[in-house]
Amino acid sequence: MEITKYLSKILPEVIAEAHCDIPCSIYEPTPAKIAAMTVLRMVLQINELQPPSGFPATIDIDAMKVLQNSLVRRIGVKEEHAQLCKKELLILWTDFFKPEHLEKFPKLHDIFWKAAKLCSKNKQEVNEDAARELAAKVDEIAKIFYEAKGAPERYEGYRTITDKLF
Amino acid sequence: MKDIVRLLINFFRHLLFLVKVEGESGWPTLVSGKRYLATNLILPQQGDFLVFRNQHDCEVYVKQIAEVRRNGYMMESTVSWGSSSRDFGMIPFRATLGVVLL
Repeated sequence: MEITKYLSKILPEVIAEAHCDIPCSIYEPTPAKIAAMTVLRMVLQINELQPPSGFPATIDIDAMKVLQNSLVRRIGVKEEHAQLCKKELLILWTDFFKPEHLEKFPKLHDIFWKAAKLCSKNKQEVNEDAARELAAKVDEIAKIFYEAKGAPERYEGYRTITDKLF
Repeated sequence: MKDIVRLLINFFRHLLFLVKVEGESGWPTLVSGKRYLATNLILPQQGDFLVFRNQHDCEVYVKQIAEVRRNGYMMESTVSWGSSSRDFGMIPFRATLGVVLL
């Protein structure tokens, strides 16, 4: 080791960075899609929850508390899974995709940027269109991902599993 | 004699009883955590909320009657994420405990 210490004074040095602490090479868009579908499911359930019977002519305080609890829980899950979707997409974007992928998929950054924006939009709103758009955007990323991996046929398997989660 | 006694007890026990609702499958008509009066003196009809014992897990459920058939009831939830006869099958007449009085 002593010799490298001296060599480093005279030889040029390059720094090699690993992309993650454990280079496991395990990447998969399915967790992002599950998170996106969870967001959609929560939006659909929130939209389906009606006020208690008799509202607004009569206000049942206990029933309103039950409704609020049901809504708040679903909003919490929506928030959590929109953030999870964003995190999973970020892992693919920053750790899996490399500069050479941009040549083949020039719109890659734009697609990821729009998907991340949709994650935020779904946190801010109860919006079925935005939730469906997020799921569709994750599918778009997944298609590119499997092509980049040289396994485009896996995209159909991914769709088969993730489209019918509910 | 014992069977008759048991049948009579069962009959009178369910003439009028309270059912505590747990879960969302009757929302907004039935509120989770609330208690409702139920009776077995009413002939259940489509749209009624029926209290019954699920033959598969022996748990007591309350769901809405979607359809009355020759051998039992097809049940449904009032919310799309609730379980229904699609999950646990038709409920035979003998499994019913009573109808919720609303």
